[in-house]
Amino acid sequence: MRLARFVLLLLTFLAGLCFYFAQGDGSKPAPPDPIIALIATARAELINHAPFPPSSRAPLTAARIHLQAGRPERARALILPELVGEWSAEAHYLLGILESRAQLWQRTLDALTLALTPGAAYPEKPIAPFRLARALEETGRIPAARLAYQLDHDLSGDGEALFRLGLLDIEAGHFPKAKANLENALGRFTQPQARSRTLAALSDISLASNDLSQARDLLEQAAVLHQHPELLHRLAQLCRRMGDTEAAARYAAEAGE
Amino acid sequence: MTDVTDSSGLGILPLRADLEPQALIEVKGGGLALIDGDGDGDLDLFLPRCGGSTSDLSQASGGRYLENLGGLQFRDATATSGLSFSHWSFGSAVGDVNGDGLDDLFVCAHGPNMLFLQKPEGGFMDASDSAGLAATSAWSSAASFGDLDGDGDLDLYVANYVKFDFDSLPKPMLFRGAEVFGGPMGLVAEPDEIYFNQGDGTFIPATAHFASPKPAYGLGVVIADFDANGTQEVFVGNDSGPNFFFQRKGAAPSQGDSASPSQETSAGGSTGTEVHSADEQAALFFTDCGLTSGLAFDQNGLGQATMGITLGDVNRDGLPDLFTTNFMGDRNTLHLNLGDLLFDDATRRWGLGQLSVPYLGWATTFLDLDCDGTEELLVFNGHVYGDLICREQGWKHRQAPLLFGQEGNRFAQIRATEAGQWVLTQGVDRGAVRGDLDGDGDLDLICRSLSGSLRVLRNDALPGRSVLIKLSQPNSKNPSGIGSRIALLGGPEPQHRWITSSGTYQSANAQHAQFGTGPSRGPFHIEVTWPDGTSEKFPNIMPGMNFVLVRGSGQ
Repeated sequence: MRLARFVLLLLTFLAGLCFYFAQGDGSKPAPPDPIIALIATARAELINHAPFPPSSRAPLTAARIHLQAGRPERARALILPELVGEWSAEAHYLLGILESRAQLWQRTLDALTLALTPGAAYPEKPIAPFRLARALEETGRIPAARLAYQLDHDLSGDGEALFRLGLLDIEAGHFPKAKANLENALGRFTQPQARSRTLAALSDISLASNDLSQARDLLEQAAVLHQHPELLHRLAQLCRRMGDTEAAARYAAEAGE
Repeated sequence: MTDVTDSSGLGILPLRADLEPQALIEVKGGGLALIDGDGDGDLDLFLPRCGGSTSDLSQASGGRYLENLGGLQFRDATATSGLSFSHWSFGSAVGDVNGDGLDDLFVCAHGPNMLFLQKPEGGFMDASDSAGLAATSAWSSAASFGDLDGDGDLDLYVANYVKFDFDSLPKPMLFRGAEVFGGPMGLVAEPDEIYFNQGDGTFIPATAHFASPKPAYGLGVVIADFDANGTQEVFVGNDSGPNFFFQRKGAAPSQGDSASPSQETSAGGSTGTEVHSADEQAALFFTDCGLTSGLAFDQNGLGQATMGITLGDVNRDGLPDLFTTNFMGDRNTLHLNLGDLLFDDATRRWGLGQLSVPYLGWATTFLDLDCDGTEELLVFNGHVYGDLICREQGWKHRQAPLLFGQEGNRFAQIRATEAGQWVLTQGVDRGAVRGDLDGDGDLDLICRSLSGSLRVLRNDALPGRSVLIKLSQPNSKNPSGIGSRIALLGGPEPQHRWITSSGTYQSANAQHAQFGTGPSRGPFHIEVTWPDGTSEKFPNIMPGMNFVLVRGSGQ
């Protein structure tokens, strides 16, 4: 049994390495991030896994309620004693949520790494890779973040991971891939805000090819969906660049400049 | 690059202990300055001290002057340098303010700022009072010299930060759940100061000639001709708010004078100075076009911390693009210069955003480390909060630099396997300077930490693959041509450099331009656009050589 587990881990580690090198982020070669093996292991465990059962640990169930109600310190008080013992992975997941809300990304990463302990079962485990990806991205571990987003997408089919991958693709200069990911995300989003920020990201790709008209069109579509000062500022800048001073002034005023 | 700190004589003890900072003023400095202070042709080092007594901000041990002995060896020559002062000091700027052919040093302090004129026999004399620059007592962060009014001499912009007093420290604040020292938010911003040079190294206040927006927390300033029209603009990096970008507009509306300052320039070969009447001088007017230019904010209209500033031409169009460094959790920012004083935040598209997010950036510079004709981009990093808080919160107090190489229209990180181990060295870094310190034609680096310890990085690029250019304007009030643009032409792509008196972070780089030429044997030619906008060509520029290009001797 131990041998089989070892072989499984070895294979997933190697698969992770292959996947990592196949992805590429446009940067020059870096030593493999050790967390990549963890993501590969999580992939092997979570893909095609049946839904996990509801939590059976009362303090952690209560911690979730406090988290949802915006009472982080009360949640933390319930989570901390659970960080060792049978429910430690679940407790670490909830701790990771707490830390990510405070934007303490290294602490988020530390917690979520333990939350993905193989074999641990709690209802949110399938969405832990997305939260792990955010922490990896914010701590600058981009290749590993890409893998975690990809895993989240494969698990959930959700647009959010595609959106984040699209942004990373823009950073990496992979504009066709970025466009495909963002358009795919756009097709999955129904909320106006999510669609708006995706259109704004697509406009960045248009700017890369110096297609100012298309960039403006996308930003204007985005602004119709969700009129946010950041979007209006970008529109004002773009209109100045295009020489449309009247529109630039209008958007600038709307942005509160 | 090879770290040669130990053998340089600069591995001196830190100027102050690396303690847990208790106040904002303890974490914002400082810079470095390269200046030939003894006329021997090499670059000596000035190190401001931003530490000392916390009960009396006028009591510190001043700066240090470190004489270059050649071969990247330095010795402490502070005692005989004449650089004697005691205030906490932060940034510095280098320029020949009195046109005597010797570079002078301006030091930004908490309290009166200082101007040290270089003496013909070497060393410096304090001319702060006689030059009219010691009148204020603000906390000044950084300064830059440039010919703002177009009369040919070097004027001065001083970026000021906040009103600060150890006796009335701001209340601690919460940052991501951690209690940290307060500021700058909530503190009163100090207005910046501008001075016009009267031609003899004495200055008169000129702040009234700037349409000053609301005072902001100034941390950095650079003066250059951003739109290549023969007048100088001023970019001011402000902490936690909109940056300023001052453009010379001509007559001030409030003066009721519609006359614009003369835009005429003299013929090539002369020193190209403009002479203004007193009325014209009074009418000069700069307006802040930060918002309309796109430099006030990042792409999303958000104010940034804007610590480090560097200029480079990443898209090879001959206009200076601007890169700034920012706080942890924010991105560093690349503003592409589109011409006509319009800029585009292209950070993400150029691959410079997400990698910088975990870092707190300070000094930054474009420089062609490997002399291949394309500039790399370097950022030094380090946290503002102390080690104990950082450990608790999962932040890195000491941080490694980030080095990027350009590949087409984007940058990619260069790692230690290619760059060397020096990119792995973690520090609480602040200012840095670049310059050819050992006379081999490539650019070396010195970086300082918050505590004042230095790191000396020798460039070991292949010899014979670069050209080093110094400018000379004889009989001019700006002999080293601060504000000029230098283009190396004749290679696969044009390369451009700008001669400025300040940069990286609160620092003054060497005022020479280095161009990598790769394996090419040349010849190349240089085109100099002098500060007044006139151009001059210099042919037969051969790799592996240093040149002093004298105005009027070209074509």
